[in-house]
Amino acid sequence: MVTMRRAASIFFALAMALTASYLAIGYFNTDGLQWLDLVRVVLLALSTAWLAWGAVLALNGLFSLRRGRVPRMRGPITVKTAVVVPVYNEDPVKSFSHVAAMVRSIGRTSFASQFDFAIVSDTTDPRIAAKEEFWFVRLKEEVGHICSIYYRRRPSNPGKKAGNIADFIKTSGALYDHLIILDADSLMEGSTMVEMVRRMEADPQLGLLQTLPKVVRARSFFGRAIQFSASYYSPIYAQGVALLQGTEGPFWGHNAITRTRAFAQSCGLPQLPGKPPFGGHILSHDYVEAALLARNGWKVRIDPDLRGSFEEGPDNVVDYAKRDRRWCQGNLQHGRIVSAPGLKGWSRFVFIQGIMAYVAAPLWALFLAASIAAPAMMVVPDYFPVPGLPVFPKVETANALALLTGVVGLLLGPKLLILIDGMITGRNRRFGGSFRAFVSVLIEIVCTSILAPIMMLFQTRAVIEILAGADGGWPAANREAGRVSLGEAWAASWWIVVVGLITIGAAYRLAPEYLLFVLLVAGPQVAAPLVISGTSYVSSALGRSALGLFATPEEMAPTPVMREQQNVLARWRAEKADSAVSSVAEKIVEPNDSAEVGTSR
Amino acid sequence: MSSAEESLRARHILQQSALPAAPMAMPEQVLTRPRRSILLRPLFQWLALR
Repeated sequence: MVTMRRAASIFFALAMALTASYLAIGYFNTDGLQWLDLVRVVLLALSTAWLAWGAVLALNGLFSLRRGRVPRMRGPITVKTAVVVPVYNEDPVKSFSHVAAMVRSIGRTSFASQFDFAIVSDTTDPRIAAKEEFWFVRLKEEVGHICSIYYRRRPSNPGKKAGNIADFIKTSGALYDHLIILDADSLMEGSTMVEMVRRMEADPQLGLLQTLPKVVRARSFFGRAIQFSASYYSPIYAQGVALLQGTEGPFWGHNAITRTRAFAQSCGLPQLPGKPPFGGHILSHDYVEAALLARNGWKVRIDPDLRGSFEEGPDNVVDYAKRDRRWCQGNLQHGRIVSAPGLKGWSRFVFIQGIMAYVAAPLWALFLAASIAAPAMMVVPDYFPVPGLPVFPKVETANALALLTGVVGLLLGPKLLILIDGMITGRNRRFGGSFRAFVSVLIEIVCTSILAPIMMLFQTRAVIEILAGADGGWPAANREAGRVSLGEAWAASWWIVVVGLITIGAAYRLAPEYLLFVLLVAGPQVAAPLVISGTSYVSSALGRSALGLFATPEEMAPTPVMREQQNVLARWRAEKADSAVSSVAEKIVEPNDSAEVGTSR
Repeated sequence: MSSAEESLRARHILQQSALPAAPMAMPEQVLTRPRRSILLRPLFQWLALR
């Protein structure tokens, strides 16, 4: 069944690409086909296949029969699970408040004694490390009676996050049947953790179970648009992913549970030969770990129906682009792994899909550049191939319109279908009703249309840099950055403005008939600093307004673990303001111990 | 409690919270194929000997 579904989905994407190519050839052939036209056709075919693949995921999710009940173990839980929270130079007040809330949440179930929490730190900044120790003691005092909570810091961080998890397994893995792997900004209801263990226990071959984390706590216009998108569209796309991946993925690196034995047996990652960006540590380790689990015969599954799993996202375009740069490098690095021995065919396809997610941007940029340059290379038509009456070339306007409609349809169709599905199934009620959902979808589409040309250039630059051998490193996530001033936005995007202006100038000179279409792409690029700064404004009030713009169920009614985390964070932040806190934190770190304050070794 | 006593207590809590020792092996996986010897390699080796 999965094979048939995969074959049908790939066929759909290829059929869309072929149709686009056919229409494009017809249109470009008006004045005779030049070599540049053939380049455009190839670029368009690749880009359309990628767009169609995105659409086919949504269609699979929408038109699939709802999956029956997944197997779950009943009765008391006797296995031991470690909830592993890797941290790396993040604000400990914030990340440990998440741990405190989760510990309290698991305490409200009957199985708290079966869960241990481990904060595994890769923090390199001694001042943050000192604060981590201080706030860990605070955490322990507050909720240490509910569960065992451990803390260790590695003096150096080989293997980055994957190495951090591997270090935990090599130190303490034998104690635990399962590991719930989180991120510093993850949040999960205790009942969800219990349910994940039950599902793992029901299927001994299940090596990893991924949840669909909802983005929460966004405050800016940009962050809330992403949050709405993740809450409204992602469950449908994830359902499509679940159906196509079957038992061969995905793993997104956090908010998932894994069988310790399976993970240890399969996921010891080597360093790739050579230097970064293509050699060295594997950056996007999660995809590789999912592929390796599948290679060893373990099932890797996503259950989008699991609720109570949350994460935070970047609140502005600049932080989003920084994260994207790291993901881009990680995905392109998979080019070295795609031919690894013994991998399942679908795992290889997933690697290619990940690479395509970033290569698509330069393909679109090249298509745009080629389309502007093409009229300059046009051959003047011969109206009198034979003496007598003139022969006018056939203008294939219908082809151009069909092509445009198709591309726009692939882009917007799935979103509109999800909206209609929400009306029929009543899902829109959770988003404040169909009218509010409609307004949010409409504004999200406008917002995405403006941001897409800007992100296209950020991604194109990332791909070029990586192919040129530039390593982006491993910057710490910054979820609290918030507002971006106009000056900061200009510093991050002046080059996008320049590219946008050059594009408009080139179109005006070489292809004035396309200028209107070019403006739709280059216009937002010229306005990039304004867009980046403007969308970083705090806009939470819009969600509470009559329009309920970008309102999500979690924003309207936070779940117990979210409320708990907010309370702990507010209380701790108030304490943090007390200067005594920092003085005690300084004293915990003994002299000459700032580089290695780990307590595990 | 004095600041020094508080620091001492904090350090004690930290030491008590070290990860429990229960090691589990995590063998390194093979991700790259060994390079196949090219067809002409025996010829090059033969020439190198000459």
